[in-house]
This record gives sequence, structure tokens and C-alpha cells, in this order.
Amino acid sequence: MKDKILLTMKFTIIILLSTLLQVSASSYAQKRITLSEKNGSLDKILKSIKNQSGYNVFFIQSDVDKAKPINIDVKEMPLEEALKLCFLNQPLTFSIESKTIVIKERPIPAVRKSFFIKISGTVRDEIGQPIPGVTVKVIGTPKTVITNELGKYTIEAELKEMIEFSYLGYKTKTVEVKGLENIDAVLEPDAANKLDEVAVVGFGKQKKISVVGALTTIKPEELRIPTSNLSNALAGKLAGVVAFQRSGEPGADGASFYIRGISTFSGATSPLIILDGVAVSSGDLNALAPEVIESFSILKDATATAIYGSRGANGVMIVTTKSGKDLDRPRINLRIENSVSTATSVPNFVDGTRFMELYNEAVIGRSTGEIPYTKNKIDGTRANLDPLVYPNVNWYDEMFKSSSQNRSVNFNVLGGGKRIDYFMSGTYNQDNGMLKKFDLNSYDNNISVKRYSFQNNLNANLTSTTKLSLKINTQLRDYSGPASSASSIFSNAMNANGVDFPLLFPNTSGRNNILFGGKTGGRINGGFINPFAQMVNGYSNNFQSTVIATVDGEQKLDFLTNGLSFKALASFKNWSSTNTARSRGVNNFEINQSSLVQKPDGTFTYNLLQVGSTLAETLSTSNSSTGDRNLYFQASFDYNRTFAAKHNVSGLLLYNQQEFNVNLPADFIASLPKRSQGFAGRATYSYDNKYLAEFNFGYNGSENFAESKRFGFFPSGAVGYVLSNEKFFEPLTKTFNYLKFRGSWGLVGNDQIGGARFVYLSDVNLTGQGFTTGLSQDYTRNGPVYSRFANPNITWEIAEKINLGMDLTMFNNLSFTVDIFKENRRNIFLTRQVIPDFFGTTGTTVYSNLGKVLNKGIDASIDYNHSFSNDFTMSLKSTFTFARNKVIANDEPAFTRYKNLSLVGHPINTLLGYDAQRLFIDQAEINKSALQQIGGFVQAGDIKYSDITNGIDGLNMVNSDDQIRMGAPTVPEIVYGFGPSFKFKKLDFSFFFQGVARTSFFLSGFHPFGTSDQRNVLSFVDEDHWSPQNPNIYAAYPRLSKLDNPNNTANSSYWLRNGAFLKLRNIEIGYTYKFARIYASGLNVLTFSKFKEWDPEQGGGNGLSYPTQRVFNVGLQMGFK
Amino acid sequence: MKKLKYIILVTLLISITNSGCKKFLDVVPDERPTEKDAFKDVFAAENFLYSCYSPLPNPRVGQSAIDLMTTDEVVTAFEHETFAQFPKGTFTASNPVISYWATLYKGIRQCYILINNVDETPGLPDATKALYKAEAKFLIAYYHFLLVRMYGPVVIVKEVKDIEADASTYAARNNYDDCVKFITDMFDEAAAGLPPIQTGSAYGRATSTSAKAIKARMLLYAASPLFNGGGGTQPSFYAGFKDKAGAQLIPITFNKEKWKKAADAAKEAIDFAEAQGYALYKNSTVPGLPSNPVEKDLRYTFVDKNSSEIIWADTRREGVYDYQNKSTPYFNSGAYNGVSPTIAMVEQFYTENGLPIDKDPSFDYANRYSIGTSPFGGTTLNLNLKREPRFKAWIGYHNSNYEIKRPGADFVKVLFRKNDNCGIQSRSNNYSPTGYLNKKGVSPQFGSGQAQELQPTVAESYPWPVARLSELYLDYAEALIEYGSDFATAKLYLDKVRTRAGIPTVDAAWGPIGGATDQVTLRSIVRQERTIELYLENHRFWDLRRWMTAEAALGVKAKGLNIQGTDDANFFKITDVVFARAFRSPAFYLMPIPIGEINKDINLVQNPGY
Repeated sequence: MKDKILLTMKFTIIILLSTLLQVSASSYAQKRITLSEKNGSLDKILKSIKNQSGYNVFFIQSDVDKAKPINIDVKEMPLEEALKLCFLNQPLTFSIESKTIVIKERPIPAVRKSFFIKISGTVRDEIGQPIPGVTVKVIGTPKTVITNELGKYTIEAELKEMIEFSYLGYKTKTVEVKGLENIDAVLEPDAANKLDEVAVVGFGKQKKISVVGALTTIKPEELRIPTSNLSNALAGKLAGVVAFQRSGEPGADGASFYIRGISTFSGATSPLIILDGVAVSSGDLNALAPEVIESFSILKDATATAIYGSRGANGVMIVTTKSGKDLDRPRINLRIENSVSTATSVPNFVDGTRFMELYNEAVIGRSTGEIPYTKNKIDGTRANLDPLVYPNVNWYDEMFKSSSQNRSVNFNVLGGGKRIDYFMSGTYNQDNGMLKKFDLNSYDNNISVKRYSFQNNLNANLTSTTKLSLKINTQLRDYSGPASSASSIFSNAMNANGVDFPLLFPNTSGRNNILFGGKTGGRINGGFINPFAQMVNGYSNNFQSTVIATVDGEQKLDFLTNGLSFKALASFKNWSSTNTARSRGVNNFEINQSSLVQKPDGTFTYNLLQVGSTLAETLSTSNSSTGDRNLYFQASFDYNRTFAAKHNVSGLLLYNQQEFNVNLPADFIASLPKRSQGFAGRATYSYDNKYLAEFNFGYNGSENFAESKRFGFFPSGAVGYVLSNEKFFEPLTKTFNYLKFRGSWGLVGNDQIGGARFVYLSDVNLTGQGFTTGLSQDYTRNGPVYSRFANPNITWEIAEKINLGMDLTMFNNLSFTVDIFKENRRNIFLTRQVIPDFFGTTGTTVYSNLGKVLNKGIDASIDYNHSFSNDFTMSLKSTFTFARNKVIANDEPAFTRYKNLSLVGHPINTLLGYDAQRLFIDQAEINKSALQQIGGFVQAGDIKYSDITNGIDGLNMVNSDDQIRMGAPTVPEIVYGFGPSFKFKKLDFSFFFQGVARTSFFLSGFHPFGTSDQRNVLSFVDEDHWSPQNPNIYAAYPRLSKLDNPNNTANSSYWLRNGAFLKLRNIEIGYTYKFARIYASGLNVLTFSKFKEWDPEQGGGNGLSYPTQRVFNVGLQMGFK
Repeated sequence: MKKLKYIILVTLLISITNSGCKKFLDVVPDERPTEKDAFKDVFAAENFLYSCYSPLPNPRVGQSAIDLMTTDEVVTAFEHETFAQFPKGTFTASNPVISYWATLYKGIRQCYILINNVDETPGLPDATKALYKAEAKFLIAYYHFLLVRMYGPVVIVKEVKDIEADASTYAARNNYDDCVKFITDMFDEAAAGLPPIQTGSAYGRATSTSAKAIKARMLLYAASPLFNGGGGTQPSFYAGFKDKAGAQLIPITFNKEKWKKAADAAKEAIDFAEAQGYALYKNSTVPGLPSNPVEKDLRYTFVDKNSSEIIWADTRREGVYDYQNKSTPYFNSGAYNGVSPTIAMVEQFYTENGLPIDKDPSFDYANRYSIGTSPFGGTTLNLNLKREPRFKAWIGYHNSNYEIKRPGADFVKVLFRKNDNCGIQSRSNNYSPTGYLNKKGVSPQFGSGQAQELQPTVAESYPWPVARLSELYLDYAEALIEYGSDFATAKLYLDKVRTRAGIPTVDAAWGPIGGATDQVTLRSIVRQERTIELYLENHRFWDLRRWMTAEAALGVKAKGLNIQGTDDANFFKITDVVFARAFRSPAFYLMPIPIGEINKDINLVQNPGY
């Protein structure tokens, strides 16, 4: 009684207030409510609604106590709808009066006449495929129906009743009956149920549960690391991908990557990359910001790739960009990053004094006639008498900065309505190089790469059955840098020593030139290269633009037969590049030694002499431009239908063609368009999501073969078995939530032969070689060179791929995927090697389909997610890839005797070298050992090799027949990665380790002092090399030599190094506050490896190439809705 | 209605793609050049002929001349260059450094393609077709000759080989005598269709005279000890050198009659050449230095394009980094100052009386390394004085005049002490390692009109002699002496060379010291004459080998003056040049066949010692 009075009183006041405030009745609808309760009391929920909406709530406690517990999970739902959900099946009802929610007992419904409306519609999944077997229920009534195999249903309901659509693995959806006769519903997969995630496959999408091929997908956010090349994020993140980065030079620092390693030596080893249905280059892939990517899939086995026929042999990478959505308000995201990068490692060189001592040791020890440095010069340098007279230059420090700054910004908007939706993204990256700027020039010629990348995607639903999309990807790349290439600048710095000349002399005599230091006797304008002068002598610009425009349309053809649709896609890509380099002549000067006088105060006077002739110092310009364009067209019929709720059948028949043209062809062959065309098809069948079968084919034509050999047919088949969906498995499903076995077999083709085209034709250069006659030596005629003989039998290279896989999910949070694979690559293109030179065909290639390679391996991934509490979650991801190939057949000379030279039986990229035992002790040992016929004089302290073939040919001699295959291949066989991420309240923290193993390389190109250079000496050579004072026959470096001594510099086990490494690739810590997240991250933070001289990821060579970069990054992300 | 619309659309689409299908992949137009175009008209045929000459190894270019600066004649400052690997002995079968094996066989194939197809050329006169075929035969013979000279017995190629042939049918090496027979027959066949002389723009192409000259050289080589059982005085190196079937590849018994064949061939070539007007180069009319007419003749024999003595020459242009520039005295870093005769070579030249320096009683042999006075003023080594005109014409020594154009001057007085104009100073390049400089083959006009960039101009560029008459005289004399029948005729031809060189005849010179009448003395005379006359003409590399005397000459370090000496007392000291020298006997008498070839062809055996 007391309650009722109170209520009446309050009610009166409210009515008064509401009239005063004139609150618009429509406004309440815009209040949005987020609720998540399991078996929650109405009381609690109403409190929450009150807090969120700011509305008052009136109720009588005894009424509310009658309410049933409520299960609700809504986000941003309009207030009234949320309330409706709360009061479903409740004995209570509500009304909203002004800003007040009033709760009342539900009046006992008066018996009244029903107005049933007959409602029908189709239920589809996210990709637009009808779902059979969906439970359609009128809430609060017992009326329930199931959708048929076309996803259709018919049900009767009253106005204002709610219809609920529910299906296992999908979010349940409720729709109010508003008098519509047709209610179509689209169900979204339940995020908690990964099995119904959709995976992008060749020319389409499939539900993950029905995928039987080997494919790996990755969430785009996992690819977000502080680098402006997407490919640098692939290593270790994707099972089946072998990736590594060889250089850190901005603009040239993308990773090399292969899917399941390498299976051919024909030259075409890189995977096919498909961006929004169109083949693109790895450069286009690198330019994508992770935010732009909707999905990223790697297709590995024949089932997945056969449909790409000619292009899928090396695996396929499919990237789709985001699309807009039907949203009330657009989603806006912004990311700003600023990073500092430094070299991961810099090789150590000896200082000037030590260099000269080692040089003298080399020239005296070898008697090659070079003049040693004088004691006066060495002493003067040691005493630091005068930096110009006795230079002691550290070229690396003088020329290169220790760090550089980079920045990156991405801005994107996603939104749309029912008819049209859109996604727009703009990315800006700026990467800077390590070259110092000098006052010498007005220009800064440090490397700077600015990239602008835009993605615009529009979808229009023209009718309920017609959809049209337009996607435009635009990339602009603005490069500025030195006139000579960064790699030559680094090698010049390597090839100069610190003592022969200073950077430059001060211009005290009023000359017009810049007085760069120099020394006569070298090869460039009579002198040696001053690396500093070569670096500052000019600057260059390169501007590249890429536009990829794709139009694609879809027409549902259900009126012809249910489940049929037609799709067409046309794409145009244009790439252009313009290069301008400006450089000027460099004039080098040296001190005229006969004029050098030391004054009593210790300073020096001297005259300068020019080295070589005077060159013009005005900047001269050279230009070049290039580009290409690509036209692609495809059209397909798709069919997808489920019969009797359990039999799902789908089909695809597709035609495509492509034409690629170079804008400025270098020669006639390059001027011809590159064309391909083909048909592809797929048929799938699944029964009750338990038994799966799939057949794919590609039928492709290639211009590269003679007419009769032009087309290739590439079929594949696969079966899958979802054991966990079996009845008898049910008792185990609590532990083993999901278990699937997959198997596939198929053929895939390749028509790419390195860069060569039309190799079935002969190639004659009619003016390739000539002769000059005449008493005045001026009558020259040029005749033909036969560069290639015809072989009309050249045809497709074929990959036969077999894959066995298993997917397992345990305890709801641990998932495990493992695939073992085997690939037989046959008909590999190769040039005939066994034709003897006395046939007179040297230099004339003959191609054949003769090679065979077997590639085997395993790739696996483990994902683990765990919530310690609502505030603390962690996830762990790890991948492992092992791929080992073996050459089965190669066109090798009939090595009936020297099996050790054969590549057959070894992986492609296996190193070939001599077997080094140790260093020679003395001349007596050399005399009694096998004669080393590798080149150069052999002395004590030079490398002693094994005479491998002595037992075969009886020759007591080491020559190139004595080389053996050694080490692991240069492309790593094992790539792995692992790392956790943690989220604690608003803090997040993650790190990722990545490593490679089973890879080797030869050290090369570092040997002091070089044949025509005066190359500097790496510290490790100084520290432990053979010398009469250190006659260590196991020293790190043999006896020094001024000229390269082929006996020591030849590839051998002496220079073989293990290239395995483990890197702390990425580490990141972030803090989220409301809509913003601020974070700090690092790339290549730590490296663990047996190899210490430089970053082992860069491979062999001299180590002084542009180093890979260690990056520290801070960033800010913001998201608005 | 709506259905119909779609059906029409789809049918249309399929028909469009279908109609384009067949043509779409035909991207190569028919107008591409093919083998047929190689003989489509007279111009194409001439182009083809020139492509047959293309593989000729350039005899004066350091990158391809295995035999120019690679013996004990000179030592250079260019020890880092390709050719310098030969005196160092660091070439191997695995890395032959300079190998003609592939390129020469490529030329042979090109020649056979011409022979097989040139008749098809429309509009080409029959006479020209015959000439082209004769030239191709000449080149086939010459390429085989170059191969045999380098590798001994080789694979004779008689047709365009079929690349589809099964590996088990790949050929073995033919024996040496068969190779020689093939080559001489082919030269004969070629000579029958060739003109005796080529002039104007065709100068440099094959002639019957050159076919006979090279044939004579082939037979001389074949008669020589290395390929002729050791010459009868020493055992052959090649007793164990057999092919897979067990057949001897190089004859191991001496056959004296081979010298007769060599002599006859030389005589035939000489008579033929002289009938065409070829004669020793004398009475040069070129203006300028050298002022001594004999020295001028000697210097210009090689350089004068109009020399009447040159039977065959390589007419390709010389480059900046080639022979002439490398020889010229240092000049502001534009002249490379580095082709340096060794003391061994310097001592080979006769005295002014035409006798070896250790045989001439008027030459103070014991004190030859003492300091004397140069005729041009200043000090020089006694060794450089009282020498024959060829020494003066071809060797630049300390305090001598090097005839060459320089701003305002026709010569440079060259001095070689450390800080002198041609001394090493502080350079590590462009210096004379011995204190001498070569003048032979360097035009006295070189550098005219040029300030700094010393590039041979049109005027200074000359066709490089490959065969000249004085070589034929020496070939003939040597064959006669070795055959032992007609020493008088041998001396007659030796004397032709000696007289032109401004020294007394053999008998006039040797008479006072006991005369030269026996085979052993005459052999040493003809060999020394050859060493001097053909100095730096691509001969000694092969001569030392065929005489089987290479080890003693090539296996030792070169000697020179002490170029680090700043004063006379230190400079005039005979010093070892530091560059290493090696000669592995008997392996180095033949060059290695590239190891890959041995691996490809199971029937091919490697040369001994590789």
C-alpha cells in the first residue's frame, strides 16, 4: 500500500517535469545500451540501464521480484529494443514516458482475435550463401520452423512479435514483425566459434570447417610491426612461409619469401600474390598498411592452388582489402608512428696504423712487388701528427649516421548504408637512410623514401541480387638519394683503407675545385676511389606511381536455378617510374711527397698534385623512365546449394585472361605483350559438415610454348573428415572440441623460366659479333650470334603436390594445425649443360624440361588463449616450418667419376666448395701434399685442402673436381616463430621471437687487400691470422696476401658459416585509454647466433652492405565510432 | 523476358572470349630474325663472313693474348692482370685463365654454317661464294692450328655437330699427326681458292700467302722436339699420354723427315710470297726519328702499315689500355710505363758485331754490369753499349732516347732511378720493374697532337703483324739446320735477316771466333736469331715450348736493375724482380683443357699434369 502511494506521488511529479522540460519523445530511441548478463536479475539490469541512459526507472519492488533471470548480451542497442529483449517472456511489461521507464505487471491478455501474417524469407551467411537448417522461432510462442536447403522458410506471426533465427556457430538474430511479408536474415558467425570463420580461397571464400586444402590465415593486426614492408612481418608468423631480409637499405629492404621453400631451379620461385583478385608484385604487397587488410591467406597445397593453374606452383598469397559496412556512424581510425632505426651491427675494421703493418706483412710475405708503407708513415700515423699528411680515416663513421628517423601515419574510414558502403584509407611512410649530410653541397643526398598509399573501396547493392564494387589502390613512392647506388657506396667504404688519403684537403690555395683526397695508381681516372667523394658527388630522385583499379560485379541468378550466380572482374594496373640522377666529376688530390716539409713547430707544408685529369664539377643529369601496365579480366559462374539440409554442393567455373605490357621495352622480345589465359573450376561436396570432398582444376594456356604445347590441364582432388562431428565422438568433445583430417593430391603448372620468354624459339642476333679489316682498320661488319636453339617440345613445368593435414582444438583454447607435404616437381626448365664446347655451341643455350626436384616438409602452428580473469588475458602463437628439397634430376655432365660435384641428391642452393683441412705448416708439407691447382701460389700458412678424388682418378692434385657439396642450403630449411601477448586491464604487452635454422653461407668479398683495391682489414682477420709470428695452422685467417690468392679465397669449408639465428624480432607495450592506445615497440631488438661478424640474416658477402635495421618505435592509435 | 536477357548476355560473353582464344596467345610475329635471315642477301652473307673472323684471339690485347707479355722477354707492372697469371704459373684446368677452347670451336662451327649455306644467298656471285668458302676453310684450318699449338692433339671438327647427339658418341681427341694433316690439307684447300693479296678494306682477310705461311709454321711446330719424339736427343714427355682406347696421342719417336716437310713448306711459302712482291722492309721513307736508317727500318718494320714484309695482320683497332700505351714512358699518368725487357732478354741481343755478348772478344763481358757513359749523355750500364741496331731500335735503357711524340719534342730521354722521369717514385702501378722499357711496336708518332689522354690515334694505330717474311726465313733456316742437309742455304736466309738488322753475316761474324759450321752451333744461332728478331711478336711463348727449353727460361725470377735505387751506385745493381715465376714441367708445355669439358665428354682425356 505504501509503495503504491509513493509511486503515485512520483508519477505526478514526473508528469509535471516532463511537460516543463518538453523532452522530445523521439529522443529516447537514440539512447544506446550495452548489456552483458548471464542469469542476471532484472533489478541489476535496470540499474545498469538507468546509469547508461540517464533515464529514471519506476517500478514496484514486488513486481520486479517476480521477474525471471535474464540472459542478455547486447552492444550499443537502442534503448527500447534492449528493454524489449529484457522483458521477453517476463510477467512484466514496460513503457517509456518522457525520460522515465515505467515497469508494470503484464496485463493478462484479453482473448482477442489474432492477425497472423504469413512471413517468408531466406537466411544467408556472411558470404551470402543460404543456410539450411536454421531454427526460426516466434518468440513467446511454440511456433518453430527450419529453413530448407535453399535457406528458405515460411512462418506465421502477429504484428510486433519477434522472430528469432538461431543456428549453431552463428549469432542468434531477432527481428520484429512490422507487417513485412518478407524477412531475410543474414547471420554472422559467432566469434567464439572459429570453425565457422570464413577463409579466403582461390577465386572465392569457404567456411573454415569445409576447407580441405592446406591454407594458413593470419589476422592483419599480427602483421603490424614497425617496418614499412609488409613482407618483413611474415617470417615466423605464418606456418609454411620461409622469409628472410637481406638488406636494410630503405626502398630495397623487403624480405625474400617462399611458400614451403623452393622446389625448382628454373628461376621462378616466388609465390603468386593476389590482391583483391588481381596478381600483383611483392612491391605492391609491401606497400600495404596492415589496417587496409581484411584477410590474408596463404594457399599451400594443390587443392588450394591448382585452380590458379599456371601461376600457382610456388604457392599463392591472397590478400583482400577491407570493405565498408552498413553502419549508423562511420568508424574512423588513425595511427601515427615515429621510429628511430640503427644498424643491427657494423663490421669492425682495424685502425690505420694496424692496417699498414698488416699490409706490409702481406707484401713482404708474398714478394708480389708492392711497396710497403714506410716506417715514417706508420710512425707519423700512430703519433697522429697531422690528419691530412698522415690520415687515419674511419670511413664508416665519417660517412654514415648512427641512426635515422622514420615516420608512418595511417588514416582510414569505414562506413556506409544499405545501398552503398565504403572503405577509405591513406598511409604515409617516410624512411630515411644513414648517409650524413655535408656542408660541401647544397643538397642532402641521404636516402629518403616517402610513400603515399591510398585504398578506396566502394560497394553498391544495385538491387537485391546485383552488386557492384570498385576498388582503387594507389601508391606513390618518392625516393631521393645519392647519385651512385647505396650498395656501391658501402662497398667503396669497404674497399678503401684509412691511411691513403683524407676525405678532402682544405682549399687554401684558392683553387676552383673541391680538393678530395686521392692516390694515383688506381683504376678510376688514374687514382683510387675516395668513397666519401663518390658518396657526395650527386643526388638522384626516383618517382614511382602504381594504380590498381578493379571493378567487379555479381549477379545472383537464383531465378535460373537456386544458388547460381555470375561474377565478373576487370582490373587495370599501371606502374611507372621516373629516374633522374645528377652527378658531377670528382677531382682527387694528393700530397706531392717531394714538397713535404716538416717545419720546426711540427706542422707541415706541402703542395698538392692532381690525380688524373681535371673533370668538370658542374652537375650533369641523366634520366630514365620505365613502367608497365597489366590488364586482367575474369568471369565466373558460382553455384552453391544445400539439399536435404545435409548435402552441400558448390561449383565454380571461371575464365580469365591477362595481358602485361612494358612501357619502355628494352628490346624486341620485351616489347611483346605477356599473355596468359585459362579456365578454372571447382566442385565441392560435403555431407553434414562431416565428410568433405573437393575437386579443382586449372586449364591454362601460355604464350611461352609452341602452339601444340601451349595448354596444360592441372587437376586436384581432396577429401576431409571432421571426426569431431561424428556421434560416437561426442563423449570426447569436451576435451577435443574439434578434430579434422585432410588429404589432397594435385598437379600445378609453371610456365615461367627465370626472365626468359619464348624459349621454344631460336634466338639469333644478326649483328652480334664482328670483325674489322682494312689497312686503315675501319671496315667493320657484324654477323650473327646464335644465342638460343629452338626446342618446340618445351612445355609446362609440373608440380605434383601431396598434403596431409590435421586440425585440432582442445580445451576450447588450444588449437593445433599440422600439415605434412610432399612435392614432386618435374619437367623443370633448364639449359643444357652437357653439350661439349667442341660442338661450337658455347654461349648458345638450349632449353629442356629435364629437371626434377622433390620437396618435403612439415608446417605446424599452435595457438593458445587463456583468460586468468576478466582483466588479465594472454595468448600465445607459434609456428614452425620445415621444407627440405632434393634435386632428383639435373642436366649434369655424366659424372661417372666425380659424384661429389653433382647437385643431384642435394637441396637446390647447396654450397659447393673445397674441403679445407687446415693451414699448411711449411714448404716441406706443401711439397709432399697433393698439388693444389686452385690458383695462386701456395705457401706455408695457406689453406690445405683434401684431395677428394684421389681414389677415383689417381691424380695427386686438388682441382675443381675436388669440390664437395657442404653445409645447409642458403635458403633456410627451418623457419619458426613464437611469442605471447598479454592484456592486463588497459595495458598490453607482447613479444615475438623468430628464427631460422639449417642454413649456411660462405664468407666472401672481404679478403684484404684486393687485387685492384687497397681494401681495409676486418678486425677478426687481424686478431687471428697465420703469420711467421703466429704459425697457428687453425688460425681464423690464412697468410695475408696483397693480391687475392685464389687458393685461399676460393669457396671452401674454411669460409663456411652457420647462418642460423634467433631474433627477438618484435616487442611491444601499449596502454589503452578510452578510444586511444599509445604504444612503444621495437624491431630486431636482439639477435642470437653463432656468427658474430654481422647480422647473419644478411647472409654471406662482406658484411658491409647496407645493414639490417634495429628499430625503436612509439605510436598512437585512435579509433572513433 | 528477364531470363532471356541474361542468357543472351552470357552467350555473348562466352562467344567473345572464345573467338579471341586462339589468337590471344600468338604474340610472336613472324618477322623475328631467324637463321634464314643470316644469308638473305649479299650484305647478310658478308656480315656472316665477318662473324667467322670474330673469334680470332686478339694478339695484342692483354685480356686475350696468352703469348705476348708472358715469357722471359719482358716483365710488366701489370702483374694483377689476366695475362700475368701465365708466367706465375697459376693457371689450372679448373681456372685456365685464358682459354681458347670454347671460342675457337665456336668459330669453327660458324665457318661450317657459312660453307653449308652461303650458296643459298640470292644475288651473290659464284666467285664470291667460292671466296667466302675458301676464307671459311682458311679459318677452320687456322682455328685448329691455334688449338693444336695450345693443347697438342685436339678433337678435329669436320662438320656442324648435332646437339641432339647421345653423350656416349662424343668424340675423343685425334692424335697429333692426324691433327697436323687435317690442318695442312685444309690450308692447301683454302689456298687454292684464295687471292694471294688482299688490299684496301679487305686487307686483313685470308690470303693464299698467309695460308702457306701458317701451314709452314704448323709443320715447323710438328717437326720440333716437343711433338716429334723429343727431337731424337732426349726422351719425349708423352710416353704415357694415351687416350682411353690406349692410342698414343703425341708421337714419341723422332722422325727427321718432318723437318724436311717443314723446310719444303717454308720454302714454298717464301717463294710464293716473294713472287707476290713481299720483301723485307728496308729504306723506310717515314719522316722523323729514329735518325739512324737501319734503326728506323727495324722500328717501322712492325709499325708501318705499308710494310712490304707483313704477310698477315690483325686489323682490329688497338685500345687505350693496350700494348702501345702500356709500353710508353711515364707521362702524367696517361702513359703506363710498364712493359720492361728483362736482363735475360737484354743479354740475348747481339753485340754490334753480330755475336752473342759472351762470344764477342771485343765486348767486355765480365764488366758488363759496370757503369759506363751513354751515347746520349749521362751514365748507363756497360751492357747497354756496343750493341746491335735491333737493341737500340727496340729497347729503351737508362739515359737513352725513346722516340715518341711529346709536347714540343720527338723523343723522351728515359731515366729509371727511383725519382727519375720514368722511375717508380711512390707509385704502385705504372712503373718499369727492370729499369728498361720496350720500344718495339710503339709508333714513334705515338702521342702526336695529344696533350694528356694518350690514346692511339688513327695515324698511330697499325695492323698487328701475325706473320711476316722474316719469320718464314727463320722457319726455313731452322728446318734446314735441323734436317742437317743444307747449312749453306740456311745461312743464306739467316743472313737476309741479319743484313737488314745491320749486323754482319753469320760467317763474317763467326769466322774470327772459329766459324759456325756444325749443327749444334747453327741451332743455337738460329734460335737466338729468332729470339731477337721475333722479340715480343707472340712467338717465344711457343718456341720455348716446342724446343723443350721452357723450364730453364720461364721457371726463374726475372732480373732487372734496382729500381728502388735513387743514385747510380744503388741503381746499377742486377736485382731479382720480386714477382714470382713458376714452370711446372712437363705440364706447362701444353695448356690445360677446361676441366668441365673433361667431365662432359667421357672420351676426352686431359693433358698430362693437370
